[in-house]
Amino acid sequence: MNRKISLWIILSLLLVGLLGISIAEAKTLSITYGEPWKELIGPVIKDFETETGVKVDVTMVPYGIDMGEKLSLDLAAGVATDIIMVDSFMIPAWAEAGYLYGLDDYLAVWPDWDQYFPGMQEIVSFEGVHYAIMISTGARMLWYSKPVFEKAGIPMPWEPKNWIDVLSTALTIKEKAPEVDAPLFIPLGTKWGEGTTMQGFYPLLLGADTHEGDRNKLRDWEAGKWIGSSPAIEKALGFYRDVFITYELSLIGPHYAPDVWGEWRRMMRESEIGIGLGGQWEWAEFWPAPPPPVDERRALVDWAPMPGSGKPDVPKITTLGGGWAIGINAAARDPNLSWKFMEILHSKVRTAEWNAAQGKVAVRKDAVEVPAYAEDEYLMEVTALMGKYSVTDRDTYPGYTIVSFLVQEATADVAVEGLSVATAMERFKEKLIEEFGADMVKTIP
Amino acid sequence: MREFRLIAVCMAPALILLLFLVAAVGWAFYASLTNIALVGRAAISPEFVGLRNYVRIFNDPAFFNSLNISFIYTTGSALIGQFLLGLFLAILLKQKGIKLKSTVAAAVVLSWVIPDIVGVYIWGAFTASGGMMNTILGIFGLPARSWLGEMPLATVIIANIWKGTAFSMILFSSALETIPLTLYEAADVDGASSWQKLKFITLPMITPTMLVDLILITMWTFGYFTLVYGLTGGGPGRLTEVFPVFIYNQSFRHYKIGYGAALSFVMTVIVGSASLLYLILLQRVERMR
Repeated sequence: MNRKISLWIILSLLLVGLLGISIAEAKTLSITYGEPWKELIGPVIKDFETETGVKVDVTMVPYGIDMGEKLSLDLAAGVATDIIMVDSFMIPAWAEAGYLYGLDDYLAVWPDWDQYFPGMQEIVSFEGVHYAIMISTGARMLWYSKPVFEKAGIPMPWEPKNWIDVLSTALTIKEKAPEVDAPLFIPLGTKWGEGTTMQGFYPLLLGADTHEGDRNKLRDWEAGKWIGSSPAIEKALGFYRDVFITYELSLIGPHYAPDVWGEWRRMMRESEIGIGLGGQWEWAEFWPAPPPPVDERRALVDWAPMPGSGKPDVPKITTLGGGWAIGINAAARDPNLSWKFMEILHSKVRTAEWNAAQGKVAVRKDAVEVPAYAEDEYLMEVTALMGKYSVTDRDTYPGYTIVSFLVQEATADVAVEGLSVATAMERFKEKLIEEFGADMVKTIP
Repeated sequence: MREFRLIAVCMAPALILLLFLVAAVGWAFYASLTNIALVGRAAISPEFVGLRNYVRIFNDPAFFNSLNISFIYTTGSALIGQFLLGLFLAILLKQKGIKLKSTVAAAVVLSWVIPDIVGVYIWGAFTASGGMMNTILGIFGLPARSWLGEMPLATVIIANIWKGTAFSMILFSSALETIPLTLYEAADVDGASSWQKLKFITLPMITPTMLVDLILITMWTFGYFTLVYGLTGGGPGRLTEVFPVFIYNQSFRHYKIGYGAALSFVMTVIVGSASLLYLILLQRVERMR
């Protein structure tokens, strides 16, 4: 009898214990975010904890780690946090896998949602459902080092009209300032991950050919096929060949350094790069945090829009939007609580002030009502660029992650392995066919 | 009955471990027969594709490239580098009257105990354009080089020799301690030279240890991921894409878990065969003694 009683006592203790654990668990909210966003998310966590009394369990992914890769694994393994950051290009791939919580019910009653630019509402949606809210967006441009330009005697402000201008300026640097390691720096190969596709290949591709139809894209949206071979892809890869092989305008090593982003930023601020193709956020990130005063930065770097190839009827300037968003895990323990966090985070003033501090472009129309943002000269310049030329998005259809990886390989095929552009493009097309099937891949003659 | 219970209790941990192993390997094998991915539709509803992943492996030039790179990397850094250098150091440290003995041993062991990722950053900084290697070259008036850009495979091989030699050295050092001193004394009486003592006493006495060392470092080096991935990510291009980095890129950057699983099985077969070969050799050596 005694044994029976003690068994019951043990069992009930266990039950109470388990219940306690699950209650304690329900009272936390978990979040994963990257170190570059800590100034934004840190205060939100504090405000959320004060307002709701719920503790936030934080996973911060440090600089240099591919967060998309880490989170994809976490999500697949079912251990991802309630709130997750998502690079906008990954949204279709994650949504299709059922990883993201559809936000439409919340957005319908959230007054702020109308303040988001239509493009920024579109970029977070897949098959009609919105899955995340953007924090910031941006443009890609040509950064250049003022000390290097001065040394090479190149007049500033620099305004290249086409690819030949860009290449010939780089050749001038090579000749007049031979100590510069990379007169022209464009992200190359797989180590940059999406960085090669987004900051290197796309800015070239979008301005390579006439933009009639989807001639300068990676996907023919009307036909619903990936583009395996086209004059635009050929020209973009040709540019890589010119930079790395024909004119030897850049070292290859930095593209495979342990921390490629850190290395490129160091080289840029130390004038080891003449011209570099990169994102607008570098305005704040070329320097270790916190960035130096604006005047000091202006003395070191400036930027010019990325021109088109110069062929007749091609876009004069290419800009490319993207950016990170924040969404809710489909398996979040308490979606309402998660949404509460989202509301606190995505406030007009908070995001505008953070974007101003980071040199990032806001995704809300009402950001200009916030003085810190509206008075930022640099951001107004970038916003003007983005307003003047239509901002294009990547071809983020499910499968894009693979296409992007193959693009990264193709750039290395040309620039490192020295394959001819035609052979590299043929290889790219063959791999696409292997992945998606011959009927899903087209050739533009 | 009691005895049976005792056996069952003692066996339980092993059985549980085995269960996890079998379950994981079983799942991986199943995954290798599907198109399961980390993202997209194939993440939630993977399709059975039979042996397609395996067929694909043998039509994939990148697979043969990575196999080739792995072969050079393993031969260069483990079989030639760590093994020979470890043996040399162990014999050297056993000699009497050598100065700085403990400093050398400490330096070698230190590089071994440093965490992998720290080793990556040390070598990243060491070989960077403004790094120590180029600074040293500069002192002698030699031009700076882009080590990871111009000779990536040689650089990662040297880095791995630096990282892993200590294991072989320690293993050989302890094997050398087991050789009875009387053998050397007898050889001295017979008037044997140092070279003869090495050839006829030292090496034959530690042959089994050498084979065990070869088995272990071949397996480790073939499957060693962190150093190469951290230093070059497999690049430039595919010039340092050793097999584990290739599998990683396919599985987690390409998000193709199914294909990655199939590649892992191929790797298991390769490493397994190499180990089997060594084991057979080891058995023969033991029998000969």
